[in-house]
Amino acid sequence: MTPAAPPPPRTSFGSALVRAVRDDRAATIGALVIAALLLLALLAPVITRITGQDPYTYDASALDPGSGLPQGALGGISGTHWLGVEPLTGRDLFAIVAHGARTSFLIGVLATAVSVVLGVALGASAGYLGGWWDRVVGWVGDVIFGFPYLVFMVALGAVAPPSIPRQVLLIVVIGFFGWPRVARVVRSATLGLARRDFVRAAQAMGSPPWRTITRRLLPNLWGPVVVIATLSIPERIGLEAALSFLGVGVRPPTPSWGRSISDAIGWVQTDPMFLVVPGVALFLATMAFNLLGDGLRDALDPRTARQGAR
Amino acid sequence: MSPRPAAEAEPAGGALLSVEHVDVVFGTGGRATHAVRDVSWSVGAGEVVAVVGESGSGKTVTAMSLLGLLPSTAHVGGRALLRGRDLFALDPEELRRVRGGEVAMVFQEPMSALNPVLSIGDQLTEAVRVHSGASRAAARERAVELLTLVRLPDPAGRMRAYPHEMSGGQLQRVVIAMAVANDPALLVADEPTTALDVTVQAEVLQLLRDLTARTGTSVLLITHDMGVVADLADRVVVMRAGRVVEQGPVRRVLRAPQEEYTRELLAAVLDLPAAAAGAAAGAPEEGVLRRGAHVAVTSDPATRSVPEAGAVQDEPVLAVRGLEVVFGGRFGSAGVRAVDGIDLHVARGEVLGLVGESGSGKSTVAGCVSGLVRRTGGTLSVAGVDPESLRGRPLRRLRSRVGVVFQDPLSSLDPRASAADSIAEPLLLHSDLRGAALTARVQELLESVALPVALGQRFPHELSGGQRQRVSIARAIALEPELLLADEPTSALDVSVQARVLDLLAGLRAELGFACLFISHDLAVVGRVADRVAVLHRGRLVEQGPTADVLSSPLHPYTQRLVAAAPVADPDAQRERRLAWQGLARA
Repeated sequence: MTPAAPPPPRTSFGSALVRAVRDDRAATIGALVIAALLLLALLAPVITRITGQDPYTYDASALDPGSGLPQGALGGISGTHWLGVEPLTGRDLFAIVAHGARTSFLIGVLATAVSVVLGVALGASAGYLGGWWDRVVGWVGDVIFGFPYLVFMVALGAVAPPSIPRQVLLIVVIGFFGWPRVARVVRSATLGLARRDFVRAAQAMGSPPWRTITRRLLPNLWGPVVVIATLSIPERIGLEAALSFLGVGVRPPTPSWGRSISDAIGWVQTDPMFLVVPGVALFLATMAFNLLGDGLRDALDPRTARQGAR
Repeated sequence: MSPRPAAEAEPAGGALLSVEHVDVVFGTGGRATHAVRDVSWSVGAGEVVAVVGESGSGKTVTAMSLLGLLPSTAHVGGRALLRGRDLFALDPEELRRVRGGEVAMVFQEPMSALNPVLSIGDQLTEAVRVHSGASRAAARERAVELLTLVRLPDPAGRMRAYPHEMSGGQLQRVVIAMAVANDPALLVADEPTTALDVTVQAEVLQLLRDLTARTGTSVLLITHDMGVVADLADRVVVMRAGRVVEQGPVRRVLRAPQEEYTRELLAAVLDLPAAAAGAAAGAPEEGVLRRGAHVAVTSDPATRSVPEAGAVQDEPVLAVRGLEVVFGGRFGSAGVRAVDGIDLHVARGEVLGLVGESGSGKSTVAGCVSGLVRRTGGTLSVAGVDPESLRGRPLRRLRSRVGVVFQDPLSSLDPRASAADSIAEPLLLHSDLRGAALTARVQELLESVALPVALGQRFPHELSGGQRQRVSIARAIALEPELLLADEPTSALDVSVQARVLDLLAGLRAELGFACLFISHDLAVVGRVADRVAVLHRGRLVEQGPTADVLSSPLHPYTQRLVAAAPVADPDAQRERRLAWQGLARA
């Protein structure tokens, strides 16, 4: 018989989130950073009004008239410009980072939502129904996996009509290229669940497929889906930054961390702080989501938790 | 602790291992659970001591603590003296030398105890070399010797085999060979035969008995099965909820138990009548023996299935004719004939017990009846209708007339649905009950399986094994089905719980009058519930007839071996059964 050791942990998402945030120090830090950045993004207009700045107004008075570099130490950090200013324009870096967080979170979260919705629908149906549908979904997913999506996005950015808002285009495209990963995880989880007796019991009592999928499978897929969504948000944020860095992301003057980093490359010798500020923001956001995602995964599936072998 | 068990805790010839006042606590503070409390017993040299108890009794935890194999959240107190040395006080390096050297372990699941990607020979050689430091060639020689010792046929050839190429019984022999590789003083066997079929179990028990007699190794046997205890043990320690209830020589404990709990445990063990090979009466026809309604095939292993014994009443709830299921077998390959031309029926209100060991095809038959497996030949009708002739709504309505109870209630209940939701599901699918009427019906069902209504709000992980199985029975009978399909409904449960669940099923059947196809590997369980028994062996029905006739005077040699191999909870009766089984196995 099995030892009367700890009872099997309940893997409900809410309790796992609480457990992860409470017991795992890294996940706690991740959750706090995400909360802070989220607050910054949501309240960006309010906060920047309080500081009396916005990300669009040029401020020549903060610049050294000769070189165009920010006046003062560390890229012009002062009481008015908390994180300094952009060289040449004198725009407030704090306002740019705060408004850039809006762009990043909006695109990161919504693109992930697009991939999760597509991935869960296709992955769960492929895993449960099997047969030719499973094969078609698998093939299409493999093709998208192997597709040089960055090149595709750069090309698309060049030809897309300007009437389509850039944010919407980015969300749809980034989201579309993300679904195969979600679908793979969901499909294998579905295959595991479909062999479990409670799914077979539902079939044996005459439950129609749609009802079995929505009532029996999906509630049990929540855990892995939330984990993979949390872990893929930072990727999407990074991808948006990469596209903006390459000049095909959101259009100026809408602030974006990726474009700020791109602009800052030219100034790295003379004004390194211009690179450090948006870089640190991007680093904090991606790391925080990764830490929280790892903590969640460990809490939902204790088998992957790091345990030292004795 | 009363003086009596303490006095009997001492074995005759001085203790090899003595466990003194052991406590095991998991976790700390408010969430701590006391798994073992003040447990003391000992094992003498060359002695077999069985620690018996139901799940949660702490028997495995005690054994694991000896080898330091408990998770890091466990806190162990007390002493465990092996030849005077306290195992709990050893540093990791000393402990490592004790493990597999002086104390070896045999696990429950032989398949998961062996590494699937290494050959048997490599794993055995490795086990020998870790402790003895012998050369590779010497270790290989020793490995072959060990495989010979555990009576594995063709030991030298088997060295190159991989775990998946061997049967469960053969693998357990390999695991035992690995355990005795370094001549341990003590062998800890944790449920060594629970995962095995009853005929294989008899062989492995035989091997363990031989090994202890030949090598003088002591055995600490952890088990829940009183029959295994009666077969192998010299002394017994009965545990419950982390405490020792009773201990003493096997004869005294099993025949004259002092404690109420031991008596309950023994009373819950289902008895099997002593079998005598039955003689057939009447003129034998081609390949079939007949005695009234009791029929069997003559060939062993069977080359065909038995026909039905007599005329079948006009419309049975379940009628199966020439059922055949072949897995694979496309593109000209032969495929696996899981079920090969079987005939059976279940009449209204009748319980048919379908008995077979693993791989006999019994679950495939169940799958065909529940509609989860497609048959490749023959006919099958539920209440006069062939489910495969229907599609969509009519098929789902037919499904509502068959209730299914699965083996493992934890896996057959949705972990995210409360007990009441699980029971309500078939009603939502097939009846018009909603709202208050639905709640009332669910409460009625909970009461009918003797569960408090408040339990309906709990989730499966908050229920005990027996409670979970009651919930799945309530779900299966919610629509008052004509046929209940029970696939090993009690094999995941403790013996005392098993008896109560079987009583519940009998009561419900008397009340609701459903027919039942009861599938089990356990003859005693089938003997308790079934009106008729059908015995399945390698996809063919070898014997079919009234329960009492089949179990007490089986006609087919396979059934005879099966009956003889099932151990009973009495040391002397078990010795006789063992001799009878050995006679049959040799024949």
